[in-house]
Amino acid sequence: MTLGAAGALLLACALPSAESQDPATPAAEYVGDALCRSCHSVEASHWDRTVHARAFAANPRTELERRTCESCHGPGGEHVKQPTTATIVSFTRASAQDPSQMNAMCIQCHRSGPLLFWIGSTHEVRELACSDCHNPMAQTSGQSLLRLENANQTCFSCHPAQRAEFGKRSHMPLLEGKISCVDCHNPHGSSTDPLLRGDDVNQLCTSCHAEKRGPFLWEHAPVRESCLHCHKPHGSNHEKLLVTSLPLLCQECHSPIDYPNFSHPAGMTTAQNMPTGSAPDDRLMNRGCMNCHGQIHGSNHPSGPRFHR
Amino acid sequence: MALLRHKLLLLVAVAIGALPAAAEPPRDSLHPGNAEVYEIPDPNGLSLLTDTRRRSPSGLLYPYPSAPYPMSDLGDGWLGRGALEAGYFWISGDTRETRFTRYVERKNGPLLDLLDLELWRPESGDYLMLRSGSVGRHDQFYDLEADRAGWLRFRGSFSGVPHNYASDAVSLFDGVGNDRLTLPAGFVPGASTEADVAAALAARGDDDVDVQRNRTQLALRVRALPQLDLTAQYGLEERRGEIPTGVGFAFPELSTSLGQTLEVTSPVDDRTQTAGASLSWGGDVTQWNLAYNGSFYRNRDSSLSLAQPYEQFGLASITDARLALAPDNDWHNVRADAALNLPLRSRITGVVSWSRSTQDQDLLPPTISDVTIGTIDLANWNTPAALSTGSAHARVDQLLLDFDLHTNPWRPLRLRGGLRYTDRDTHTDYQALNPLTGEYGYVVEDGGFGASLGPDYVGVYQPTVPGSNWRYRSQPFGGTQLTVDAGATLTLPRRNSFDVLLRHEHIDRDVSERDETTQQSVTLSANSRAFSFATARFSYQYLTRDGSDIDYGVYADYETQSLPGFVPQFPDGEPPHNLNQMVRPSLADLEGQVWNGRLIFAVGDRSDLSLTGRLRSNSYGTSSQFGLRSDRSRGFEAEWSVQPSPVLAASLFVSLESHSRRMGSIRGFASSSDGNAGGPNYPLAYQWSTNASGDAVGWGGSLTVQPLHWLELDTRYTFLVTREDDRIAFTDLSALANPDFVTPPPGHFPELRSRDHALETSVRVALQKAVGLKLYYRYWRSQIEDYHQTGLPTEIGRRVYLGHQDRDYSASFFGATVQVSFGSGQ
Repeated sequence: MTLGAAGALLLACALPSAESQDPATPAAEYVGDALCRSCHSVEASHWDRTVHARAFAANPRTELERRTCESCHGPGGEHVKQPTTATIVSFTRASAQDPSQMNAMCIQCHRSGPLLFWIGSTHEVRELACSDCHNPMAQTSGQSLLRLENANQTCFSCHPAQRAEFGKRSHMPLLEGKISCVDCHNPHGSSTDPLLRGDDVNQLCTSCHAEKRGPFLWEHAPVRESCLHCHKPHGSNHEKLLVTSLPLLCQECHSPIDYPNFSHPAGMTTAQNMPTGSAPDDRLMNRGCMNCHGQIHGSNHPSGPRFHR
Repeated sequence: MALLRHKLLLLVAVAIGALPAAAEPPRDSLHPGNAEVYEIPDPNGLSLLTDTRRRSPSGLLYPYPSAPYPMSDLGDGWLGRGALEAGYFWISGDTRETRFTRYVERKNGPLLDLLDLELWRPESGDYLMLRSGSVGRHDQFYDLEADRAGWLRFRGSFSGVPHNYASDAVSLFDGVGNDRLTLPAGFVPGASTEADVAAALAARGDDDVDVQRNRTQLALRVRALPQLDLTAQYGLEERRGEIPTGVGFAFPELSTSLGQTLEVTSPVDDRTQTAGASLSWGGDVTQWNLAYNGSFYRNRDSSLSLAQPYEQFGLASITDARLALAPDNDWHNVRADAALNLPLRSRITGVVSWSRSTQDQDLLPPTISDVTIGTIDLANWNTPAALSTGSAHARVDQLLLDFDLHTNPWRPLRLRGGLRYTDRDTHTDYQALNPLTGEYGYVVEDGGFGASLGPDYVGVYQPTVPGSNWRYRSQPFGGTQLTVDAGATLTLPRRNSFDVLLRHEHIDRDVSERDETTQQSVTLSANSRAFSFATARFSYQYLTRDGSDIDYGVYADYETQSLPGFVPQFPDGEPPHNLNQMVRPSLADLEGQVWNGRLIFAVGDRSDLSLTGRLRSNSYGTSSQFGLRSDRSRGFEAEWSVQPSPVLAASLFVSLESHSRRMGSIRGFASSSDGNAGGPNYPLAYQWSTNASGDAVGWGGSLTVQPLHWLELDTRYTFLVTREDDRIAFTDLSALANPDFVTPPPGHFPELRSRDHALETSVRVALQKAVGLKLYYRYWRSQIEDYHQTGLPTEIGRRVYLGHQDRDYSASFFGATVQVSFGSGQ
């Protein structure tokens, strides 16, 4: 295919697709929000306090926004004649539309920025609707018009295992209100499987733990590869969000050998090596292997190849 | 005029500069949720038109919304309201236990625990909100929002996050929190006995070891055109305090009179500034984002120096040590995301993201010591002149390309395919070469290693000494990763769908004992909303991974064994780097399965029952039994919530989780270069294995009830017990760290467990429409057992610890506050 033909094809393709057109039936009749409010006064009283209402009422920037109620629910002409959920776009379980049709109404406006990867994201493929997490009709949450009071509670309603993890012995300070699920994840889609707000795990972790970003003179290969080799992201039964006990975590990769004239602490530790045991061993006490290899995330000391300094 | 306004807004956006957006405002432990003072449920719910409670498309109930509160007319079209809550709080019990205050500040005293202001001008769409809590305490927060609806939004937030590591630390050293730790008066470095140190420790009091993290974020979003958003962000994060760290001089296990380790405090005094700016276009056909983000870490302390207390180090007295602390570093990222809608309901998305991490900190000399060990005079190594370069010149670049195509040519069938490529280049190339002596190598543990074991173990390459093998070049842990996937979603009748995803991933590493691995997976998932009362989602993934041969010889290029004149320790070469059949889990052969299931039931009109479960099973290293062999977990959760009326809501939940990791290894004794299991160095008789299994069982519930219009009770209870059981197996005592012990040790460690109860109750009494009284009661009880800490003293032989142990605690918290709202029409 020549370059010109390819260009022509691209131009031909760059036409609005069916998804990008008004998801509501364009030919239908718009009736205006005053008529909507005459029946839906309670809905309107809640909606009026939302950020959508503030924008649509005071500063509509597009024709779509000027339609207020009908910008999301589609034209109400048929609904006025026959007031059922089948004659209007609705966003609940009782809706006549499937999630992709509901979501198309939201995507009319919310389609760039953090929403750009919604199509094909895990949540989209699993047929979640925007209104599974959001309730644009009421100010239930402080931000983002969520279904529940905040992002964490909303996420936990489908991901309860994570809630339990945040209660474990070592955990990120989420239940204390200091971080949120959406500080690390973009539930609307991203270029990573776990919907991360970054190109990869390490980029995300070091956005807060910048002191561990390096690059260092001497690097620890698994640290450079992924923080999750050693740490759980939400919570752990072990100290420091570690995935298992020390020194077993280190010994999953390292089997130091005894030299003829000296021995690096090696072999299997036992209860004898505990602080109260008959042969206390640093690997089994307190910081474990990090009692000596204290700079395990990387060392910038010229004498730090083994992360001692 | 409109054009001028657009230009001004653009200018403001650009001028503010850059930062990651505060995705969710900060809160505190008293108000982790929405944090509004008055939330009175609307008895009308969301609608007057239906008796049936509304559910989300997946079937979850929407809660009763709060009643829309009135706002007072403040003049000039502004409406406003506000509320504050202030009172006195008492705590009692084991309130110094660090787990009780790990991320919060809890203490007796008066507290303005919530301030909430809101202004709104409906005509212009202007909106201002300020919310803050725990004012003046270490976990305080402030959240400011200023909008002109539809045009711009400014967010500013501040959040304090205390992080307490220990309140019972006993530091031998003076200068906790500083970059120089000195011994107590009367101590001479390198001249004290264990008894001297014990006496000094006994005379010390408890120290707090903690870090205060303060995070400020500012973000401005301008909707310059209906389809064009500009955002600018700035963030500042400062940390002050100290953390524990470990410093070794030689293995204490080697000789109780030579080696030693010290647990000390390391200062934390750093700041990270982030800046970012982006453009987002949301057109009908194309959408794109262009963004720059940067992060700049600065540490006020570049090193930690400390005096070494103990006498007798063998060949020389080592009196000091110096650690390099986290170096200043910069990170830049430029990223472009784009999407193009195509006919046939098709869409292409693409990402090009390029990042650069740099670090060029001035380097410390290889040691702080000045003694002579054998023929090696450390005075030639304790000066910057002993470095091959004055600064680190460290750099990592990363490129990400990601393209996906989605098409929906036939309504019931969606197809997708994707390609993702990552290239990480490490440009750091430090060489440990001392220009003063012309020698390669470094000084292990400030000479402690060599002083204990002999001059051959200082860390300096000596060509005439067999086995003088030291790492002397930094290793570039970069590589490329290519992932290709293809998937299809079939929409079936009656609101059912089925999805399949195939994925192939190939990783090529620059330097690794296994330079190539290939992973393939298939994921099947099904979703059903066929029944009005239930939603079901299931997925199953099967994956396999294999790779190239394992070769630990690749690291030889970075060690002095690659230099001219090297004499190996054994006639056939150097001792093995590691057991050849052991690699880290991410490199090992793998066969894995993951099952996930989720069911949501509508139980009547006013309650939900949600069931989730998952099973993950990874088996590693099918060709060997060493390293991590398997990693398995199972989990199940159930939650029932009910909202019979606006004044009553309750929930119950239970969660069960179990997991296990099996690993194996061999105690090795070097007599040749053979690194194979079953060879002379790693005899199978000396193999050992562990099974680390654990579980977590939690349950709890909540009740919110408003029996009278002036009285509301809100209570929550949670219970969580976790257990870890590390079991060990071996056939020969030589597999053990201490084979000379006559009595075989037990086959497992004491259980590592925690058990936590938390009861959180509050009662709100409306005294008047605008004044309420709120009473808080919290009760926590926590038990913990960790064999790493149990019985840990501050000194064992020549090991010194801060002596911190996580301990059981129980504590109560009581608060009485007055809530006052103003401007809400009362």
